[in-house]
Amino acid sequence: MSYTRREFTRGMSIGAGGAALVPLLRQMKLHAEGDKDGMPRRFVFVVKSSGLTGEAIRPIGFEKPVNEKVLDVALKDLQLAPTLQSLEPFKDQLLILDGLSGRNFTGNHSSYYGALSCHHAPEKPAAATIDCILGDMFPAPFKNYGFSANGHSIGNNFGPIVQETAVFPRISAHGQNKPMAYQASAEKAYRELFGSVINLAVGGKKEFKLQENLLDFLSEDVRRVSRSVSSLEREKLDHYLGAFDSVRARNVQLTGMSDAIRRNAPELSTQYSSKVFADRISLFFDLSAAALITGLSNVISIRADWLSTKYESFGFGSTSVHDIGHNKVTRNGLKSVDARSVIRKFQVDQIAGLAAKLKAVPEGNGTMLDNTLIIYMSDGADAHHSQRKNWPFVLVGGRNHKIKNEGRFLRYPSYQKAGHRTIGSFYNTLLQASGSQPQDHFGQIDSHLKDLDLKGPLQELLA
Amino acid sequence: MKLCVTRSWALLFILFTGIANGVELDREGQYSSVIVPLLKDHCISCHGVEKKKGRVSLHDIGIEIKNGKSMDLWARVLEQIETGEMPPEDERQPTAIERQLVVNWIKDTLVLAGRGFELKSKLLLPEHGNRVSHELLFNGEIKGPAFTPSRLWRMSPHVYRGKRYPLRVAGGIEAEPVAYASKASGIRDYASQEIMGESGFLSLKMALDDIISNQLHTKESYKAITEAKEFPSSDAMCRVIREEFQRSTGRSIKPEEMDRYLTFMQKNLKQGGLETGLKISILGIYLSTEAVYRMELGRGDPDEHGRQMLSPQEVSLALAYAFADTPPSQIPILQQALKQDQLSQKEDIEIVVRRMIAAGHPPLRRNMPAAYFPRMIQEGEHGYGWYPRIVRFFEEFFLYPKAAGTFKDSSGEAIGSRALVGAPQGHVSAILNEDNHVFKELLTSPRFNNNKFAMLARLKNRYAKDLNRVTPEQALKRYNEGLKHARHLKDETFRAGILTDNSWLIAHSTNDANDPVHRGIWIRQRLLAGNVPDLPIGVDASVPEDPHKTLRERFEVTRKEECWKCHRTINPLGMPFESFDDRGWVRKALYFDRVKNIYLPQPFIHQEQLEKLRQKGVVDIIPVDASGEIFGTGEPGIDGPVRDAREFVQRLARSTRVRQSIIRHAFRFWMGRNEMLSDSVSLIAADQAYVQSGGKFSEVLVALLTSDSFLYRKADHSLIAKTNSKK
Repeated sequence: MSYTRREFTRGMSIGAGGAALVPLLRQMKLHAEGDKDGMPRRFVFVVKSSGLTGEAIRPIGFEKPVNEKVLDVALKDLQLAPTLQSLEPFKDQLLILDGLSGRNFTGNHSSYYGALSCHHAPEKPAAATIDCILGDMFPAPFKNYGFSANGHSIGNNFGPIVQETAVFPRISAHGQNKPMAYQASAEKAYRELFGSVINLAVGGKKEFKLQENLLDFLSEDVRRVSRSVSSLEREKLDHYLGAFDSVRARNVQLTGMSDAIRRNAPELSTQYSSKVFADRISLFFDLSAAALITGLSNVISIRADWLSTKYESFGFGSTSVHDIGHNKVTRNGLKSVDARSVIRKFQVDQIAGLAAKLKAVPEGNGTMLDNTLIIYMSDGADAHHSQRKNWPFVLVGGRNHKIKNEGRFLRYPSYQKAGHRTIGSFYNTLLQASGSQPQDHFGQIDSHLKDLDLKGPLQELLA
Repeated sequence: MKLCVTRSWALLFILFTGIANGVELDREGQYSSVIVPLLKDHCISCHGVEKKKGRVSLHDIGIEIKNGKSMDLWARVLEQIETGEMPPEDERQPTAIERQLVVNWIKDTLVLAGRGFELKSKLLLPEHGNRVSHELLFNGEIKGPAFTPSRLWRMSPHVYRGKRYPLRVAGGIEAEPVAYASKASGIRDYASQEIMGESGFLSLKMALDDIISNQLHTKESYKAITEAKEFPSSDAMCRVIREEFQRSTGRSIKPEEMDRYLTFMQKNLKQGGLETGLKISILGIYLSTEAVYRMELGRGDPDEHGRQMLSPQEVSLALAYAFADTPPSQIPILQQALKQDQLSQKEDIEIVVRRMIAAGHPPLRRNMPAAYFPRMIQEGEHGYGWYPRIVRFFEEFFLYPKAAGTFKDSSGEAIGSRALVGAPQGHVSAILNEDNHVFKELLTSPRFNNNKFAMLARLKNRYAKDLNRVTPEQALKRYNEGLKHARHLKDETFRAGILTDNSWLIAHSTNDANDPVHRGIWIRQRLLAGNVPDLPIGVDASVPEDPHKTLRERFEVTRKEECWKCHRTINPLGMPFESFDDRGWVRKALYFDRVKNIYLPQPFIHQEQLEKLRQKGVVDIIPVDASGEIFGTGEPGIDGPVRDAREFVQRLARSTRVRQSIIRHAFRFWMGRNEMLSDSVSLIAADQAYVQSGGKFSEVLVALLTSDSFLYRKADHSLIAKTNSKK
């Protein structure tokens, strides 16, 4: 099916302006009724850089993989890998997923948008990514929210390690050529998410109200120009008008949620202006928890680190994640494999912290964690320069997501072996479990796997 | 012969009027009288009742627009004919006009079948530019009138930097919200492709918000409002509005606009307080339509073709952004021209363009090695070849800066990434500033050699100049520093032009090997104005790893029938660069390790040691086969086999097709769109200006920037499609 741009624009502004309130109301109603099946589904994607190896996350005793058949063991009586220890309290809703591939989504150290869209997209987005698709399926005032301490500015990654503006880490996209911005600044994220009801020195309540003036003024300006241009060019301006409409719609929603926002907004602290990379990441997890609990967003993506990231507060000195990938010893004398463990433990601890916060909030017959699936992965499969023949994931929470993740280590047969599956199959499973129409595939198909049956979701995972 | 000309003119007449023998032909009429005979002449013998090559038969294709299968087939036929893939090269070819007639008829039919949007959007993509017939663009049969559809052109990421918003936010405004939607491997800034939508708006707003917030208590004009004891005066408000409007749009504000912004600001200050009110008001200016889109509507009275010339204000904006990223308000020549009304007549505009070229620009810091740049400035280096947009055209055309970001896994001799890009950039600008047979120089100049002798000659030359500028001690010191550097250089004489420079070679290589396919595609598209069909879905385009074979041997897989159809037009153009290894170092031989039975990555070992190993019988030295072939120019003395990269580029540099292909790309860059057949006059003028001036690129620029294509706008946008189909 193909749309004209005008049809597309029209659809976009209707979607943003009119229909946006409906899901929120539905959600609020369900909250009140405690309907388990109708509970909001939430997702948190935590995407790290430079690979996540299978060996590092497999339970003790299973480090060497079985390659020929599906391996499915309960985690209950197993010991988790050392860097995954903090997930012990969540073992009953933990899934270690191993053996999937994504060989055709190439890039140098990263598959970039391909990691979440299953398209070859190292340079610019070729299709919508799974987080943005889920954001559309489970809308909230912010359909998606992304946190990343740094990201691209005009095609280079040499900016400061901790930036203070909107960035593009090249991970998420709303569609072809529509990259999703992440927020690098913790302060700005705070203002965006919670500023509508709080008096702040910059931004805050006062400015939130004044935004309406700005949107009205800009809309009028666009309409004035529209009158003097031809139809094709007017479509460009319709896109611009559409942007104002969605901001307006969001503001209406935020106004309606002011009590909840006031109640759940975290305390602003000096840590918000800290330039220490690890501090910033911790804040991102705090902000994510607060945003999820408030209902500001149901899908959050966190870029956990980046090739040029330097974990100076861990004593690594100027050794970057990229350097570690190339076996450079850190300033405090850690070899690559040990430095990677320190980083991984830090990230997993953050995830555990988020899970604990969500578990503390009752929802329906259980807790918010039951309705929130946290997905930990790398943008470049299992190695610094990966062939992407194994792309491991760690899944925490989401008991009600209709995914069988009740404490399992699930490993699929190796690349090209009978029964092998891809990360596309996994995303397809997430979509189908989330109520999407069944599809054969998600994303592009690996031509090296044409002899395998890759159709449909991962049956082992579907509840 | 006479008959031939008559038929050609008749077809040309049909092409532009749709009229044959005095009767206006409808789609069916054109099908039976024009298309069917052409199908019979050129297609049916292979794709008919008896033979169905590639399981395609066209004898009963049908023209019913509701028949989806039939329309699918026409779409495939269009792709083959438009890209020149069919008829096969060894068969008799239709003329350019005949080909265009078929293309137009199929497009019209597909538009009727509801597939116009796909076609139109494809046509607008930079990568489809070459689908417009090269022959018809340059054979002089089409007389115009040339114009560009009136349009809004989204400000480029570079222009935001040129607006000089005081940036304190690293990575803020030049970042992706306003990044190009076009592929990084082509000419990027296309008016039709760039749109400011929701994500762009939100991110730009965030960045601008920071920029304004940071100045609320530092900038004098802002302080007059934010720190006012009482409600600020209208004068203070008008000053901010006037200055910020000028900054963001590049022009002066009109009285009625001032009224609107003043009312807006007063309302905001009252409701939101002085700081917040001011910030929101400035955001209203920075995010206004004219601040995010360049207006190119054409404001003059329509001429007999319905075209309107750009207004002087629009011309000043267009010229400012043709040379640099700064608005006209910061370019004195343009300000003066505006004041003296020199931007409303073509002759005057030409004078202004020549003035801009003569004024030139100092070197750009970008990519220049840190130690080298101050010296260039000190030595008074200057010229039109340093204008940012001119540098950028050659960057986007040759893609050499991509080398700095090409990661290498192979072992071998490294080059610093700045030097890797800075050196060719210096050469390109020098060639432009010399302005003599520019394309030939770019493609064959020996200055791209890492040549010790050439470097020594340059050093001596500079020493002589330095003696007049600095003390003899300083001159000697500089000479000795250079000498140290020169000693590390190789004594190369093989390289010729930028395609043999390390940067271009690395930019067109993979992590660990040469990439004859992308090199071949580059040559075919950029220098031969040729087309390469999209990679068919489901094709595994990887070359098998095999250390026992040379790259050329590994490429044998592309000779499979289904691959060779396209690869035969690509590989022979990429293989001559086997004269270099994947880091762009010249090589004459490959080394085969007889012990391990594999080819060795190189350069892995010194020549003397290699010779010893060879004598011991451990290593075989095999001469590199860098042969290839040029075809498709139709020019005698150009098409034919080549021995190596050097012969290849030298022959290409003599080709008319190559010259015109570069000019087509320059046209796209400066017009921000693909060519239409009606641009023929502008292209021919640019080509002739180059030839007649002895190869001055500055003359190409003058021709392009004073062409009707550049200066005239026409409001009916459906013409984008129609000009290439039917008038």
